[in-house]
Amino acid sequence: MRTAIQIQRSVIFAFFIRELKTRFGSYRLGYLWALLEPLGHILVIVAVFGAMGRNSMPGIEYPLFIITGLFPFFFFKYVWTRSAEAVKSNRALLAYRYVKPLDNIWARALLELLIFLIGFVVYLIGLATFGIEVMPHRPLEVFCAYILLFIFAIGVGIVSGVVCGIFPELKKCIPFINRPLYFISGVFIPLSVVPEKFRVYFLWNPILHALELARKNYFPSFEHSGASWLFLVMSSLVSLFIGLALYRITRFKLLES
Amino acid sequence: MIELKNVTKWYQTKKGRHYVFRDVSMIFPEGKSIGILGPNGAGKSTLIRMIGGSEYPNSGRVITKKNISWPVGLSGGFQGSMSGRDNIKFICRIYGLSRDETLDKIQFVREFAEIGNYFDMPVSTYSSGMRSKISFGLSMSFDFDYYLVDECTSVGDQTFRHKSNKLFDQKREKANIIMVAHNPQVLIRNTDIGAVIIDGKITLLDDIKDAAKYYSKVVKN
Repeated sequence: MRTAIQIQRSVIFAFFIRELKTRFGSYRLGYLWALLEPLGHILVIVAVFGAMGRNSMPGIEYPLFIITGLFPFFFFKYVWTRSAEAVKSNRALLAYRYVKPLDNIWARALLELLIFLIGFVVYLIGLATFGIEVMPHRPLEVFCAYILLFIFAIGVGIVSGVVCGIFPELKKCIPFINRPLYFISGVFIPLSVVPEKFRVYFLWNPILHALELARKNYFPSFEHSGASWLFLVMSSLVSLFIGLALYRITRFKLLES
Repeated sequence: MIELKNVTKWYQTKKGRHYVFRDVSMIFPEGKSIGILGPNGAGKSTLIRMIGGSEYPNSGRVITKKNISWPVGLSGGFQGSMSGRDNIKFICRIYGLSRDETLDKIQFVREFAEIGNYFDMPVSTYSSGMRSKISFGLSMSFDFDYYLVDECTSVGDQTFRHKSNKLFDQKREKANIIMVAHNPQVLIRNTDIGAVIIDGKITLLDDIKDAAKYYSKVVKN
C-alpha cells in the first residue's frame, strides 16, 4: 500500500506533466511562447511609460523595474484564472479514486511557478547582456515577497476553483477582474507616483504590496510608500484559509458527477 | 470483503435533500462477483462510485482493503489534445507505477487495442470505438481485486468483442467484478450474487438468478 503522501505526490506529478503537455503541446513554439508573451507587454509599457519611469525613479532601470512586476503579476493571473477552471474541467478524472478536486490546482500552480522562475531568470540574463546591473539588493526579501504572492495566488485560486466548480457561469467574470487588476497592481508604476490621498485605496490590493515590497528590496533607491509585510502575510494566509475551508465545506458537492 | 457501514447518501436538489441511501449496512462476501439491480435512479451508479472511492457517503463508511478499479471502460477523463500513449502514462503516474511497469501497460494496451498509428495521435482524432478499446484495454492491464462495470456496452466489431470477452473471463479467474446492467442475462452470465436496490434499501441475494427473479417480481407489483 502506498502512503497518503506518496499518492498525493504521484497524482500532482501526473497532473504537472499533463498540464505541461496540454498548455504548450499544441503549439509548435509552445515553450518559447511562454517567454515571448511578456516581451510584447514590456515593449509597449516601456514605449508608453518609459519617460515617466526615468523621471520619477532616478537610479532604477525602467525595463528591470517592469520585469520585477510583470512576471509576478502574470504568474498571479495565470494561477488564479487557470485554477478557476481546474476543478470543473477535470471532473471526469475524479472517477480515478486517488484524484481529488484540488490536485490539479496544486499542479497548475507549480507549473506557473516554474514558468515564472525560468522567464524571470531568462529576462534578467537578457538585460544583463545590455550591461544593466540586474542583481537584487536584498535577494532573500525579494524571494519572500514573491513566495507570499504565490501563496496568495493559490488561496485565491482555490476559492475561485471551488466557486466556479459549483457556479460555472461565474467564470465569465474573470476577464473583467483581470483587466483592471493589471492597472491597479502597480505593474508599471510605483505607488509613490500616485497622489497621497488615493494611496490608501490602492493599498487594499495585496498584489500591490507584494510588488512594492519586492521592488523596495530589489532596488536600494526605490521609494516605497505604505506597503506592509504584515498585510501581505495576512492576506496570503487568510486567502489560503478561506480557500481550504470552502473546499472542506463543499467537497462532497465537488465530487458529485 | 467490502463493507457498507451505516451509509447515508443524499443529493441536494431544489426541493431539498433527495436521499439515495438511508443508513444502509451490509457486507459483500469475499470472492463473489456482484450484480446490481434496480430501477433507474435507484442509486446503482452511486453505489458503484462509492465503492470505487470516487464519491463519499454523507455519513457512514465504505470499508475495504481490496484494490478496486475505476469504472471499466471509462474514457471521459482522456485529454483530447494528448495521444493515447500520453493518456495511458497519465493514469499510470496517478497509480504511482514505475517506468518499467508503465512501459508494460503501454505495450499491453497497444497490442490489445490494435489501433495502429492512432496510438500516438491526439485522442480527439479517435472514433468512439478506438477510445473504448484503449480505455477497456487500460482497465484490463491493471490487476485489481474488483473490477467495477457500469452498463458495459460491448464495443467494436465482432472480433474485438470476442477478444474482450475472453480477456474479461480470464480476469475473472483471479478477480471479481461488481456490475450494473439493465439486462439480467448479462448479470447472470457474469456475476454470482445479486444486490437489489429498491427505495434506498439494498437486499442481498446469494444467487444472481434469484435476485433477477426477485427484482422482476418487485418491479411488476
